[in-house]
Amino acid sequence: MLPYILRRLIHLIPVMIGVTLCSFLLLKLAPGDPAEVLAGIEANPEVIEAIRRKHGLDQPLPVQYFYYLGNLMLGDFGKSISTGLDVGPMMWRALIVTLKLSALGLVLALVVGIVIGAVAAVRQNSFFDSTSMLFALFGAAMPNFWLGLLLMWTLSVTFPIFPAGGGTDLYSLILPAITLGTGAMALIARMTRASMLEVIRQDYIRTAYANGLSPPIVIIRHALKNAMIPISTVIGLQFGYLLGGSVATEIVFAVPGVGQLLVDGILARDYPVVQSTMLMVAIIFVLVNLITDISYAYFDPRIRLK
Amino acid sequence: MTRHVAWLGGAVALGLMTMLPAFADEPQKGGTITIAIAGDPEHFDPPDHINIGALTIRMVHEGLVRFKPFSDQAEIEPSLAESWDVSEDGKTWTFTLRDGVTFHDGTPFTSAAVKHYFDRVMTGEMTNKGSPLFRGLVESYQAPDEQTIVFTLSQPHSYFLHRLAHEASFFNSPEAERVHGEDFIFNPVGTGPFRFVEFVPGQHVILERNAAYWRGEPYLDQVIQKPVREVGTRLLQLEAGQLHVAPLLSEEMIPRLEESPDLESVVTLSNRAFRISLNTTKKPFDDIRVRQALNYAINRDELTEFLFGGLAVAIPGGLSPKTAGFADIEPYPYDPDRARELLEQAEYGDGFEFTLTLHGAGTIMPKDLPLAETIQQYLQAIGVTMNLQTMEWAAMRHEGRQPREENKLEASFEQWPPSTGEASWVFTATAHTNAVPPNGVNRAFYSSPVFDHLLATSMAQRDNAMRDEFLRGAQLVLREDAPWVFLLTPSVVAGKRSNVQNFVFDPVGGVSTWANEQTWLRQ
Repeated sequence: MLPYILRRLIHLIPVMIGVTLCSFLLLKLAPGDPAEVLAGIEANPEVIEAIRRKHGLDQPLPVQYFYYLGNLMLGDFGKSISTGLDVGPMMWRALIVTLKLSALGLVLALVVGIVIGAVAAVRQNSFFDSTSMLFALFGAAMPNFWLGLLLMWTLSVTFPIFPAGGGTDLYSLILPAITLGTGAMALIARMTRASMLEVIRQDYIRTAYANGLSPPIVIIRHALKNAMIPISTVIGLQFGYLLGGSVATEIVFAVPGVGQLLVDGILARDYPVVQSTMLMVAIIFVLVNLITDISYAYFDPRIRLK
Repeated sequence: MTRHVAWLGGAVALGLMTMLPAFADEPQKGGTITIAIAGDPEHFDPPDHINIGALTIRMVHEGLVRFKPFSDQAEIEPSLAESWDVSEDGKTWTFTLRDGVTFHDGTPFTSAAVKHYFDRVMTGEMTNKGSPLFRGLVESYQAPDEQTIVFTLSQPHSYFLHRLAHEASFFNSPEAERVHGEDFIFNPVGTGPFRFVEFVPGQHVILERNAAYWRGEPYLDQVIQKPVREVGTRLLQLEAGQLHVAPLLSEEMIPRLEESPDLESVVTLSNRAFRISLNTTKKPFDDIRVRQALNYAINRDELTEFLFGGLAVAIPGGLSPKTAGFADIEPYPYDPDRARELLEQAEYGDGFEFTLTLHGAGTIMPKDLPLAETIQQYLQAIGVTMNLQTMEWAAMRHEGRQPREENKLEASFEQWPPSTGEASWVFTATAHTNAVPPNGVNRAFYSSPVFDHLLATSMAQRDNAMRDEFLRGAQLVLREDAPWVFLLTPSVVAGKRSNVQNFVFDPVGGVSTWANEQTWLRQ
């Protein structure tokens, strides 16, 4: 398995180069100019030109790109155009918050989604099954920002249990995590139910019951573990989407994560911030996919990674 | 008195009502207030390009003069300068600095700090905001002694004081800049009522009372600014008690604020002048009659009354009533018959089609989309089809700066809040011949020697009444030439907890809010 992991890690290099090139080109092709944004609506062309020169934006595109790439190799993410701060620390700080939020959202989605899905499958066509699946449908369809505002309104203002956003501690992140995780939860619940329904009709489940094992053991050890393979794919993908989907949630709950950094960066055409953050998110996305692939081998020993 | 002036009177009365408890109660010392800001501050170097950071600067730093905190139209009062004299020709300005003022780091404020500031903005690359305020205008500056600074201007300028009141003209301690090196932009040291404590990106800016403040000790212990980008979240955090002041709310939130006994809404007329800029070099807008017809076709009273719930005023020219130099002339009346007649004369009797470009983002111009859709209906009634095109704001800015041959904007939504609070700034940047793209942002490509002359003459006046008279003339010319479809000035809505007293809601009419030495918290 180790050579497999190594090879996958080496694959990261072309992916990274591709991501830097794409993000660089996309940003440069978008009309608009960081100097114009920074200088403000009242600025005259002299000021705009001076700012362009100061940040090297007057250089030809290939020069700008290789300059950026060269600094990147040295571990220098550049300086933000709008604040002059080093992008590295800014990005790490935001990334940690977003990872915390996404992980919390994913854990919530997993625990609640798998339990609901499994119970719904075991009690197929029951009242619990139909209502939980209906709610799952709502959960998948509800826009993040709206759910977030509703949660804040009820659980922060009407019943002041949680803070109305603004924090990065675990307690403040509960409402954002619920908001963020609901969509994934709904999907995981439906996937678990479908996957479980297939598994519990298999012969080996009947055999397990016939051997006298108790229903919880059969469901958890035999049925759920086998049902997990398709679910783990969804989980891996969902984590990536949670990272990206945290934009709306972060804005609504004033959580200083990657989403806010990216939105501010894009609006200000702050190239160094956007490029580096996109690169990091892409790397995490690839790593999560790798972990997902490795987890297949755990859930199904028949799968050998080569 | 016309309708909008009556409305303004109402606004003053409203402002007085919210201030009344301040007179009735004895201000209390102590307490911390938390204010929402629209995003992270960039940094805190006054002359540099910063937007959100400027709100911190308003509390930490000071300039020679300042905008009167509770004035209605960007009035000026002395600050670090005690008094000033202007020479007969209007070119030499001598400021006497206040004695005994110290920066937060203990160093005295003297003319050396003023000189240091002007050395920064007057030389080198023009990468900061302070440079365009003073370059070309200030010819030389001298500090004959510690309490005196003398400016020689290249020409008389009747709004020089407004430029000095701009937060990009505030002074940071030269000693602090030396001590902190490059990091001085994150360690602001001014003379203001609050001293800087810390800035944690994404979290907060914390300021504390400057006990040695020269205007007297401020009442508040601490001021905290928190970035909250989403408008709904600002309201919820205010209701949940996490904020004392939530600026930039929407007017639909007023009833909800009024419902709560602990909260108040604060409605202030903004300095924004909503208008549609018509490219006067492109057909059919090269014909003055067409441009006037569009102006006659708009029912401004209906727009302010129904779309903006009475919280906006119709405007006659390119200025908000909040902007110094605003002339109280009659807005274009609603007269669709006259509009059709003018179109007939211009041989557009069968109408025509054009495209209006707007941001569509909502945050920069609230309600710009419904506003555009309503205008679409008005124009349809006179046979003109207006298509709408939304463009992301950085892209639109870029497009608006293209030279005439390449500029694709036929008509675009604009608002131009002048950050100096006065007419010359906005007119020079958006209506003067010199500001035609790519040199500026005169997107109408409007060029009128008469207007340019009146503007220049008004700037040269030493007498303020004469200055306003010439500016009035300039606005009459603008109204007649109609390079813009003049629309309205909206209000800005903020929410605050009722126990916050004497909080400053931008006297320039922008969207900034800050606490000063008079702000206090009833406990």
